Formats: sequence, structure tokens, C-alpha cells
Amino acid sequence: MSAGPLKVIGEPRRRVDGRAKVTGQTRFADDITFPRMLHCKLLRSAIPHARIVSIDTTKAEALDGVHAVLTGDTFPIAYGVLPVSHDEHALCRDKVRFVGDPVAAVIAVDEATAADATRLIHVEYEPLRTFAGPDDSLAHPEPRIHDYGDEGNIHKLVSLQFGDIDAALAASDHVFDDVFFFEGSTHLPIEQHAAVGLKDPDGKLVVYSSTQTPHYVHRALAKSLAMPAAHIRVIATPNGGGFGGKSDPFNHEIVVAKAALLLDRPVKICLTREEVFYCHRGRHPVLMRFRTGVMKDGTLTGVDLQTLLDGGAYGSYGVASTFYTGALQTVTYDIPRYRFRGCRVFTNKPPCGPKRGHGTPQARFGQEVQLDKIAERLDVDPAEFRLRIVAPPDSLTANFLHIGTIALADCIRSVVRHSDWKNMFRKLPHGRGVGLACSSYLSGAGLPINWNDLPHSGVQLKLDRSGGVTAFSGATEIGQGSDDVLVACVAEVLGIDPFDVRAVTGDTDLTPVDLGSYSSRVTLMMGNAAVQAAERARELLADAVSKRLGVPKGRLTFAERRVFDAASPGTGVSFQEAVCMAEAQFGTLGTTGSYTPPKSAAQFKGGGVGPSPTYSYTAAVVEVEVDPETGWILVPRVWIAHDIGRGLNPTLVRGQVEGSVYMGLGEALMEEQVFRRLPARLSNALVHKFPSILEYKSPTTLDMPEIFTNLIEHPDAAGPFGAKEVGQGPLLPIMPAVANAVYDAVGVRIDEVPITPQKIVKALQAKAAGRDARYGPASFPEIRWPEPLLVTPPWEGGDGRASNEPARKKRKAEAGVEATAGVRA
Amino acid sequence: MMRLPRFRFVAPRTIDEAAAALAEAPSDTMLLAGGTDLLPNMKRRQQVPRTLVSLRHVDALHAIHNGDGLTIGAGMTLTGLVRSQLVRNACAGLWQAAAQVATPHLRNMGTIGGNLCLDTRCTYYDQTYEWRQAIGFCMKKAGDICWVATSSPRCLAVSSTDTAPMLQAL
Repeated sequence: MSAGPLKVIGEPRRRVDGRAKVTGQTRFADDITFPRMLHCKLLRSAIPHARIVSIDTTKAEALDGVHAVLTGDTFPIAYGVLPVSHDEHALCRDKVRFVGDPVAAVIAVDEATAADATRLIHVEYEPLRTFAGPDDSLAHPEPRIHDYGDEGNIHKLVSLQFGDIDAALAASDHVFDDVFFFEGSTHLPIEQHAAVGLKDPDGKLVVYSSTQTPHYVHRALAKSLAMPAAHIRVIATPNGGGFGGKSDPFNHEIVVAKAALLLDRPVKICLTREEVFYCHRGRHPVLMRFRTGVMKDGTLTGVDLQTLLDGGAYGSYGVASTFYTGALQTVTYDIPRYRFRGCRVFTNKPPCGPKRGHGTPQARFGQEVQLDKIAERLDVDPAEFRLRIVAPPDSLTANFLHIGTIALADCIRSVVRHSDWKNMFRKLPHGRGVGLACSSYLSGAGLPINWNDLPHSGVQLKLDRSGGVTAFSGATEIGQGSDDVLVACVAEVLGIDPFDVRAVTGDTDLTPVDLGSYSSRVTLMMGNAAVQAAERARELLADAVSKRLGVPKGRLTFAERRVFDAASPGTGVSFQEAVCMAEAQFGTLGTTGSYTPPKSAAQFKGGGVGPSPTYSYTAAVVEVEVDPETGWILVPRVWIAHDIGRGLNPTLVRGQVEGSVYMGLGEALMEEQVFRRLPARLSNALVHKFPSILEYKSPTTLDMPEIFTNLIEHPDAAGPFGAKEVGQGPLLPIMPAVANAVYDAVGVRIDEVPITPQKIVKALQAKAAGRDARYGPASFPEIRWPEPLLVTPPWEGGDGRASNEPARKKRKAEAGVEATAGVRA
Repeated sequence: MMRLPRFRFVAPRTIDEAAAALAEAPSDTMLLAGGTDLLPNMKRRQQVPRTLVSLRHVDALHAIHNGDGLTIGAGMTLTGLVRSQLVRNACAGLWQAAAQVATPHLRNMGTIGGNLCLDTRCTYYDQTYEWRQAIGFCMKKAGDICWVATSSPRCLAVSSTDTAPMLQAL
């Protein structure tokens, strides 16, 4: 078949789900209603850490309109998203671990009755020590929040070394040693989580939910309810925003499922905004220490990174998050030797997990601010400095990640040129400044959460005599535009219009498995699967048309809803006629495509986090205006360039870039998921400081700067039509670029986010008093790190394995430490 | 979503009817004059009146007169007040204060009477029942400690009304 110019791909188009959304016709989870439907409310713990002594539900059960009251007794089986941390029960059984942990569920005729009944449940608690932060958890191994984990209240300790980092640092001209802090923040999707459970007429379970990951909900339901997965159908409704906050299987989903089975009536739950703050799974607060060796000519000799994550009360994706804080430092810049040590602790707060950028924005902030400090010390322009150290394309990093195409240098040059950087940096009047930072992100995780050899994404196509094409995919439309990507890929290959393709997505009964809309994986993985399925369909059609018209297959072109002879365009048939010919020749038409990422070169334990089929790259310049009197900070303009490989629908790509800038500015300037610990002599309380949008400050449209977006398109062979991710990467440079711009504006370093006026004023006061012109954490605590896994970098002859892995495993086993071998995060 | 508690709703047309409705059970009845403060508070169970007496349909409370001094009906919305040339000419400061309250939506609903009678605010108090339960409540309602300053003998919640300071100044 002859390949003509692309017709659909690369053209800015209105997204296929746009009409339904702007006319209010999209049915979100809370819009779903059924006859005889009941409503559920959860009673949540008001104590941060306690043993449950007893639960008395008799008064609640007696309330008129109440159909059932459930407690942890109904949910004996634990679940969780990662196989290494199945530490959640739908309702707490023996213990509560944070204020907001669900203890009981009421199912009633309406929401108000259910809420009234929750207040009639009496729970007797025996309070336990409250762990408010990492210092508490490191200092006090007992009482343990969980009875698993690496030790005491430390959930996970990671220690990896790629080459002799100590020798590298010792031989460096300079060693920069900086401590940074990144405050936690939450996703703040417009749509609160909602779910409806019901029995279908066959008696099987159906769950509708605003989830990014119907496949993981499916697995969690099957496990926790001890039911065959084949008897469970999970339908992911379009999400009103996800950002990672709807990626875990949630307790409320399991509760309404079980309640629907017990009562044989549909049961719905829609969380309040406060409850969404308790579901959380957002950005981990991370304290980090970067030691970076540099030669006089600006080459990096090595990086030694330590991170400390406040994980909150459950595992969630936390083990992966811990690895991610140290995974991607090496894919942007040439770092010959590298050591990463990470520690995640449990505390009595809502669990942290994946938020846009998953674990990588925190350490990216530290790295990019430190590079700004290094450039200043070496007296080199920070853009120029970065251009010298950009990692090479098609290479392996020290930690065995494979870089495909890398257009980071082009991104840097783009923002430098468009922002007029050379006339701005260090040249603006006091109070105005510009800062630059870069980033990278995965285009989908190379390894699955559940260790297996199965495809990560599957697409099925149905074609019939109507000329219509239906594309089935398990991916979930969370606002990012995945339905549009699906139909665009199919339409391009078959030479039809995206509107001719119907997308059926996110339904475990109807659609093949896709691991979910997270990890920036859908465009690349679902896209490749869609292209494969469409190419197989095109092959069938071409075969039939070629026979009928007597035109060699290689000359047939699919375009403009026709299949025709490229040498004689008048000779051809309509797309519908082509489908009919193929249906006559082959019988009912259906094709499939699937995608499995290439095998990773990283074969050491822990090497499962970080590999990706390809990485996206971003560079950003942020301009700030800082009032030196008040510290008040404004961001008038942002220039951002993103290495997208190829923009499948540039309208969606730009939307993702601008949305990332928005979310990045929120994290840079104001958002914090923070908690109140009341005076310990008076109270055990530890509560979310302001679980409402009124007080959890996030930017509005009025706060948005002018954004100049430039898409850098060098197609990468790994992606469909060369596409890479865009959902997460462009967020990452914003926070460090703001910090670097503040330094350019008023000469103080704010080594933590959010960068608030108070912190700027404190740093300015310190500067005026002759102290360090800086605001940020003073030190990184002593942590007893385990012996590192020693992996030799590729250029020193390494093969991707750890030289001491078997020996370390043996020593660990002898020391009586619970071995977690064989389980890759 | 957060639901309102059950309550009886009365919508009198005259000031006398409103006064009578209020007098029936004064401790369990509250006046609704816009509701932008009261209704969220009720959802959070900060106030749980059995009866709400809406002043919206009491026409006598919507007027602005300029006879012997300026008279503004307590039921006048903040938007109505901001649109009044009389107010703008006679009391520019009050006009400015009213124009700065919250957002257009809230000014459309909120009234000058309601703005003057706002409950005092505090981050330990403007929270749901369940949240306040988790801190053992506070001196302002159901508890005995002011968490702003634990040794304080009195509640330190503050008023957030924008119009009261200007009216006091006038």
C-alpha cells in the first residue's frame, strides 16, 4: 500500500468528545442513576491512629430508611494497587491510621439519611501514638503503623549505586551539596470521585466508577470480594480530571460493589470535596539532598542523591514513587556515575501516591535549582551550561535507561530564543527576573505493576458493511483526549475521518485490557496497538479491493474515505464498498492490535522503575516580578518548548502543555497539602489543615500568565507516528524555573516549594543581616541505609545486573530481614 | 455532596409576619437573608436551626430611601446596593466596601443585612462537623479550648464583614 501524506495526524482538530462535554451531555459517574438505587456514606475515623475496640451500629441500623450498615468484618481480604503493598481493607478492621480512614458504611434510601445514620454509629477507640511526619517515624519504630515494611515505621529503603560515586566526587573540582524540600500537594480534580455498584440481570457485578484504571479496580474487586474476575464488569466513566488521584482502587468502590451484591439493589456513592482530600494519593512531601561533582569545564562527574518521602498511612504506589524520586536524573544530562538512596516512611496522614509527574518533580526541582547554582559558580549561562551536558540520543544511562530521541537541546534553544533570554537573564532591573529549567518524563512505564508478559494495551476493531468502524480500547478518557488519539490513529491508517470511528473505551466487559490512563502511557501504548489493529484491517481491505479491481496491493491508497489506485486515482471504491468486499471475501471483519514495551536493559532489582519506550523532554523559561518589600510574586510570562516526537492532535498537545504550566505554577507558588498537629499535651489530633477548595489555594484563570508554547517535532520510532507523551513532562520544569527566576529577580534562593511571599521576605531579611541568602531546609537526617546494590555503568563494562545482588540477598536473609526478592516495583 | 440538615422553611411577605415567625421559637429559628454564609455553615453543622425565615419576599426590606439620611433595607442585595446611584453618591465608602465583597455570584445572593450579621470565622471552626470532631471541637462551639491560642479565655474568631467597619465609621 502506498503511504501518502498524513491527513489526520498533526492537524489541529476539535476533539471527538468535545461536543458532548461542552453541551453537558457527557455522563460522569455521579450522573448515573438507576431505579431502586440506594446511597452510601462512609463513617471516617476522627482519630489519627488508634486500635478499634468496638463498633456499635444498632442505632444507625434502626434509623428509618437505612438498609444496611457495614463494617470491616464484611471485608476480610486486603488489597492495594502494588503487589508489594496490599495493605488496605475497604473498611478498617483492627486499626485506623489517619483522620479520614473509613470505618463503617451506611446504605440508605438517600444521601442525607445515610449521613445522619453515620453519626449514630458509636466507635470505641484505643488511641495510639500519632506520627505527624518523617522525623517521628524515623525516631520511633513502635508502635508500627503497619506490620510490614523494611523496618519500624519505614515502609521502603532503596539503595542503588552505579559506579564508584565516592571516587568520582573526590576527584571533582567542585562538589555541590544542597538540601531541598518539596511540599506535598493534591490533584484537585474538578470531579469528586463517584461510583455505582449493581447486579446486572444475570447476577453478575457491575461497577461504574470515575477511575483512571478500570483494570486495577477490576483486579482489586476480584481479590477483595473473592469473586471470579470474569463475573465482574468495571466501567470507567469519563473522568472530570484525574491527574493520578483516581489511579488506585478505592475503598468506596469496593464498598458499593459489596453492598449492591448484598442488597441486590444499585448503590451509589459520591464523595464530598473533603473526602477527596482524604483519598489523596497525591504528591509526596520529599526532603532531598543532592551532592553533585563538577569539573571546571562544567562536565558532571557524578550525582549522589538521597530522598526522604512522607508516605502517609498506606502503601498505595509508594514503593514506585520512592524509586521514581531517583530514576530519571540521568535521562536529561550526562551523569557518568550515580548513587540513589530513597526512604519512604509511614505517617498518620492520607496516603500519598502518584500525582502528575509521579515522584519525579520533587527531585527534578532539586536538580534544576542546583544546576542553576552550579552555573552561577562556574560563571556560565545556565542555558549554555545545560546545552553542554545534554545526554546523547540512542544511548544507555548510568542506570541502564535507554534514551531514544532527545530533542532537549532544541527545546532549550527554542525557549532561549523566544524569551530573548540573553537580553533578560541577569540584565533585568531588581525585582524582575527569568529562570530556566528542563525536565524529562516517561512515555509509559516499561514494566507492568503486576509482573507478567502480557501486552500493556490492546485494541480491537470492528468493521462492517455500514462502513462504520468501532474501536475498542480499555484506556480511560480522563479529559486528556485518549478517545481522540484512538480514533485519530485508526482514521489515519484507514483513510477515513475521525468522526467515522466510534470509540468504545474503559469497559472491562467490552474492551481489551489497557493498564490505564496513568504513567503517560496511553498515546504511545494504545496508539501503537490502534495502529497495528488498523494496519491489519487495511491489509484485509486492500487484499479484497486489489482482487476486485485488479490493482496491485502496493499501489492502493487509503484516503478521503476511498481506496484507490495511486497511479490512477479515478480507479477505486468508496471505503464502505471496500469493507463490503472484504466482508464478502473474509467473513465478519475484526482485527486486533496490542503493544508490549521492549525489554529493559536494567536487570537489577529496582530496575523496573524508570524504563520507558521513549522519554519526552521539556525546557521552560519563567519570568517573575517580585516585590522586594512584601515578597509578593507574579508570573507574567512563561515560554515552554516540549519534545513531543510528533503531535497527533496539536490542539490537545498544547492543552496539556498549558494545563501543566497551570498545575506547575500552583505547586510552585501556593498549593500545599498540610496538616495541623494540635499541642501534644492537649490532644492527639492530626487533621488536614483545610480540606476544602476555599482554603486550599490553587491558581485561577486570573492568575495565569501568558504562555508561549513551542512543540518540537522529531518523530521517535517507538511512538505511533513518532509521538511521545505530553501529559506530565511539561509540568516538571515550572517549579524550578520559578525558583531560579526568583533568584534572578531578588538574589535569594528559595530551596523549597511552594515559594510564598513569606519565604521570600525571610530570605531577603537573612540576606540583609549578612546570613545565607536562602530559605529552605537546613539538613538531611541520618538514615541507616542498607548496603547499596552495585551496578557497573555501561561504559565501565556493566551488563545491567548488580554485582552483589545474590550476596546481599543472602546477607539480608541471614540477618533475618524479610526478603522481598523477586518482586520488582 | 454535603447536604443541608432538615429544616422548616418560612417565606413571609411582611415584616410583621417575619417577626411573628421568629418569635415562635427564637432559639431554634434563624433569618435567611441571602444565605451565602448561613447555608454553607448549616451544611457543616455549625448552625442547625429548625426553622429558617426567608426575608427575600419581604418587599419592605428591599428599598433604599434618601429622606432624613439614607435608609437601606436589610434585604437589599449587595449587587443592588452597588448598582444604586443614591448609595454611590451619598456613601461612596459603603459603596466601595460592598463592591469588594466576595464575587459577583455571592453579591447577587448576599444582602447588606446578612453581611452585617455574618458569623465570625476561624480555620478551626469553618470546617465540617467531622473535622471539628477530630480536634475535639473548640470554644466557639461544643468545645472549651480556643485552638488559636490555647490559654485564651475567649474565642478569637473574627468577623469578616466588609460593610460593618464602613457603617461604623459613618
